Amino acid sequence: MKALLIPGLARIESVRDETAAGDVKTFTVQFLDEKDRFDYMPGQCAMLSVIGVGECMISITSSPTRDRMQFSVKKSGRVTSALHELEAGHTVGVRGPYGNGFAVNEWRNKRLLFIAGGIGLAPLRSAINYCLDNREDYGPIQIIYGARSPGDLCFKDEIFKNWPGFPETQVQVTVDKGDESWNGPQGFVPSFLKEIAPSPDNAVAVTCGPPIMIKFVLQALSELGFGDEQVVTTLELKMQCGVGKCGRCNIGHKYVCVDGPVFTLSQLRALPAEY
Amino acid sequence: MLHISKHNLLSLLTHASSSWQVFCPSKQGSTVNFGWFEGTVDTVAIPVNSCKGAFLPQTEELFTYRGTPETGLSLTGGFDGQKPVLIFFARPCDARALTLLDRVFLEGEYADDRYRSRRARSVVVTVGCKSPLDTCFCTAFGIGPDSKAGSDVFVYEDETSLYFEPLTEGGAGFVAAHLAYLAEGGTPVSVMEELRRAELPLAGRIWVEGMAEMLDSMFDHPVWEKMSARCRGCGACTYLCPTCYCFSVFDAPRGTHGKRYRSWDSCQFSDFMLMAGGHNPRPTRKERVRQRFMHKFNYGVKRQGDYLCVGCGRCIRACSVGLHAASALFDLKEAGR
Repeated sequence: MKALLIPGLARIESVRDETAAGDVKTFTVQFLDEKDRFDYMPGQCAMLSVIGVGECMISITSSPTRDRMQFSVKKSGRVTSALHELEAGHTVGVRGPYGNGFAVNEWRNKRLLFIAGGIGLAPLRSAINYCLDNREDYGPIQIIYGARSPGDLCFKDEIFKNWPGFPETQVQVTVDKGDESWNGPQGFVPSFLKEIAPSPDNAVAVTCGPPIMIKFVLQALSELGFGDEQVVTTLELKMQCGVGKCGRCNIGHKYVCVDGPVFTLSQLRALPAEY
Repeated sequence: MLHISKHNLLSLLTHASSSWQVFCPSKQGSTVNFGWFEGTVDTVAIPVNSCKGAFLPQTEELFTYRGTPETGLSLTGGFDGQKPVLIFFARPCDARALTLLDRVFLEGEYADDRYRSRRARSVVVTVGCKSPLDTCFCTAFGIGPDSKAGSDVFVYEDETSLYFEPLTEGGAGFVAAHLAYLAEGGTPVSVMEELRRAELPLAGRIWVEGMAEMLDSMFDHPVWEKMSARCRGCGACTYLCPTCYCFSVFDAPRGTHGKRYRSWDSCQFSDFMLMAGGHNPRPTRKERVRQRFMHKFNYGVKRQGDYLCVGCGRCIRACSVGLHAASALFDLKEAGR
């Protein structure tokens, strides 16, 4: 029987700075032992270890359609700070996959609207690349993305070059406050979304970002006529096991680690607002 | 029924400890606690703690690592089979509580390898509760002084002897291995009758029927504020509770080597859900006390199919401010009706 809480060791193949401030880095990893490798779906997560410091749950930002596993991590606590000190060639621990992931099979032939803020694009990126790699299975794809400043935008190659090149794929980017280099839209994501006013017709809206952004995006989507079943978001709470046992990440009787992190708005409305 | 004179019990346990890890109550200072057998046993008192630690140790090593992330790492310390666990003298509430922990750690996609390994070959010997305490209320949860759920061997105790009734294959194996210590004959009819008739006054005042459904609409009820006002957040209730299982995982580095441990944790501690960046979804005692009792009486029913309380009364005996499962059930019933 596989040991539940023991990570596999993985080598960091590359580290890429995403933001100007250096507070978000993307780590590409490769398991040292093939038996530790695992398959995953977009939206699933893994427990990432800096051995000797600790573990934390991070969404897998790569798409399973690509051959390398990637994690984009914002430096925010003890483990993520230690992770940011590591470089290519160093070793981390990885165990997973955990969580339900996005219902990408139910999205077939629908119009997809992705709305992200800051590092919140990381989990959506997995689904976006998955859908783009299976482009014919999905309807038009619209990506609305924002960050505090131009320097805080993540995955710049993809949002500005790669993704807009796919058929029927639109990427619209805003920043809270521009600088001399920025001649694009300015303003917060929720109001940007309301200006764009995408149609809810045969659509699924998927959103992730800072809690305050999610709150107002959900309101905006309701105003635009999106039903609660059409709206999907991902949640994050403190986790220590990732497998529904340590008793930490529950919202009501649901555990974010195994029942989430992906929830529809109608599922969230049925739970107590304790997150 | 096979029986043993109480005088010979210690020699039976000493013999058993050659092939079993024996977890039993013994006197430690002025109190009786469950722990690994070290030559003494107390079969009279109901222990302060529960026997969950035999399967979910208070602290256990997950692995030892050598090296550093920079220079390369190796992990060792796979869990290997030790001697099987013998719980000697669980109470019916303890045995039943193990079946509830089993639902958390053995069922579903992510069975816990360590818990399973310890639990799989274990034998639970339960003694009928002849002298329940005034804090006992197991009968409110359908358990009783002669309940056998979760037990492999049931023991009836009279003035001089202990009568062994094997209930499972594992229990029969344990009894068969100790025949040299057991004599044949006799049925402790009066003890059986006594257990059947035992009454727990506290249970008569506790109402659990429909509690889970009632709590569905009580998440935002002001009663949680009132209940939690006196809580000290010490977490003693959760450590002693036979059905509480929350844990944390942490690393203990020692230079270029170290260990990762799993250790009991408590939803009553302020940093239990504290996230990097400072957000805490349960910032005050109100949210934490609500979490504990909602888990016991609502979430547990939805996830594990039963109340996560067996009425053992340990939280009643431990709490310095009188905030425990029984008081919660009183207060919630009062508030919800």
